[in-house]
Amino acid sequence: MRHHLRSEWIKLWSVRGTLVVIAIGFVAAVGFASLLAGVTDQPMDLEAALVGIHLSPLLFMVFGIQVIGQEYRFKTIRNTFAASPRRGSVLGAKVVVLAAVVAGVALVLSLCSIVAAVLVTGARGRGFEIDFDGGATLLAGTVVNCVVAAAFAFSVTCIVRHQVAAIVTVVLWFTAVEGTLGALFDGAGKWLPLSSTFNLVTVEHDPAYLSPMLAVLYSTLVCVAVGAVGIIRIVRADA
Amino acid sequence: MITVHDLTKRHGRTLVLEGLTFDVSPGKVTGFLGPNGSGKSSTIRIMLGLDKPDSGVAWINGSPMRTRSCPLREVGFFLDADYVHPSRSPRSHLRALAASNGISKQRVDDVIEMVGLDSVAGQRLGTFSLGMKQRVGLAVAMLGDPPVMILDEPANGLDPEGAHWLRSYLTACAAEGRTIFVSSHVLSEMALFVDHLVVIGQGKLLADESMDEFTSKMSSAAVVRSPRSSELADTLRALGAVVRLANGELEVDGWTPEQVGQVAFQHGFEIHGLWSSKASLETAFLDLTAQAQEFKTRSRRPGGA
Repeated sequence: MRHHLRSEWIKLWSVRGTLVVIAIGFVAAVGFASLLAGVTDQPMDLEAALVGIHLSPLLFMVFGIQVIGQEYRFKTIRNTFAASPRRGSVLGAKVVVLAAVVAGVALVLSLCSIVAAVLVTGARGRGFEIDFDGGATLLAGTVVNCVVAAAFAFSVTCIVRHQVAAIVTVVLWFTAVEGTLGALFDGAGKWLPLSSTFNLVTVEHDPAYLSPMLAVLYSTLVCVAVGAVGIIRIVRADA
Repeated sequence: MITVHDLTKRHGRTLVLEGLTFDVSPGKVTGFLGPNGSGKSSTIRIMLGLDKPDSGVAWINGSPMRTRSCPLREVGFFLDADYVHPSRSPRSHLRALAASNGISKQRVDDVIEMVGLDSVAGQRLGTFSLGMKQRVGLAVAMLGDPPVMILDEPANGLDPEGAHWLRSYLTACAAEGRTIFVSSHVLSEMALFVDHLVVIGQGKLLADESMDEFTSKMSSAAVVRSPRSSELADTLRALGAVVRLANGELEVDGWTPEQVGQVAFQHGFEIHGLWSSKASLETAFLDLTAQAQEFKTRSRRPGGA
């Protein structure tokens, strides 16, 4: 497993797509935070500062799709599995590296967004409210939410084994399916994989959704279940 | 040692491999030939554990590839030069594969130098020509300095220097006692360095024998040069031989030089040259696979008329 982790780390950082996604994430997160801090007349707080990163889970989903989808797109998966025939270990290493990198990137982007918001509100002569207890939970929830989004997209890609199909599936699921089901049925949102984490990214929790702790457990369970289907499919199928 | 036994594989309704059985021995270069769609790549993918057979086994040194955790030190492989990420450099591509098997960065640099890519090792693979990507693929096969090498069309796209280097390298590997299994469509290239042949057609084994046996079984001929070639041809025809005259030389199908020499001596013909003409690998291959071609060209003339 150690060898596979090292290998997946090298793969992730040796393609341009990784840096492009991070750069877009930085622009979106810091840009939204600065923009909001620059125009709003409301008091600025941590939740408002993190609005950019809360609006960009699709970006982390693309990241999750890339990690496995590009291997199928460029057929490098055949080299990967010929060099490492124990496919479960390879996929496990991919998940671990993906989760670690997404968590790190989400944390850095969150901190950059907060710093940007503090600087802009300061320049406008306004105050920035920091609730350290709630803020730490919000920051942790934001990071977990990004990891869940990336892991869910990774798992879906393992099932469809095609980068474009995975992007279409995940975007449709995130926008159309969860959006429609959540609007049609009261209380459905709390059981939808990506919507269930709503309270992870808010300070004041909405009772219509799962509590942060339950949301972490539930979304992790969903990712593990979808991921297991994907991994079984990859292990059994011809590469 | 590679053992393929009773291998059968279907893709949907198409039977790709049907009871394929052969062994690949160490110490020689074994060529793997077959027409397009004959099942060569499927066989290689099953050997490498990428595809699962419907029945049968493909073992390398006594066990299937899928049971190994770090196989690059045991089995080197070359699949397709285009199986690379275009924005990755050859060095990163090789380092990732090497890391998965615990192979050092130094070895990566060594194989990059061996295949002659040290000056471009940091450039993007998307900018590489087919021949350069082919060298990257060969570097992957060499990473673990393995005793077994399975190579699918390794010479495709290589320049003459690269092709010569590859032949020399594989021949030297075989001389060290390694097992070398190479598929190729370039028959003239294969004829230069292959010791043994496995030929398949429509998923079935057509031949499994040494190169000499393979070509000598096919129609051989004696070729003779004489200043009185027309008269000698008449004499041979009178004895039942099938004789062709071309460029002042007579080609006598199915006869040995000894038989032709004896007739010439008995009838007092002056001889300036007498030798045996074996069928080329291409001729032998086309003869053998004539009935096993899934995809055939229809015309040999430009314009298709």
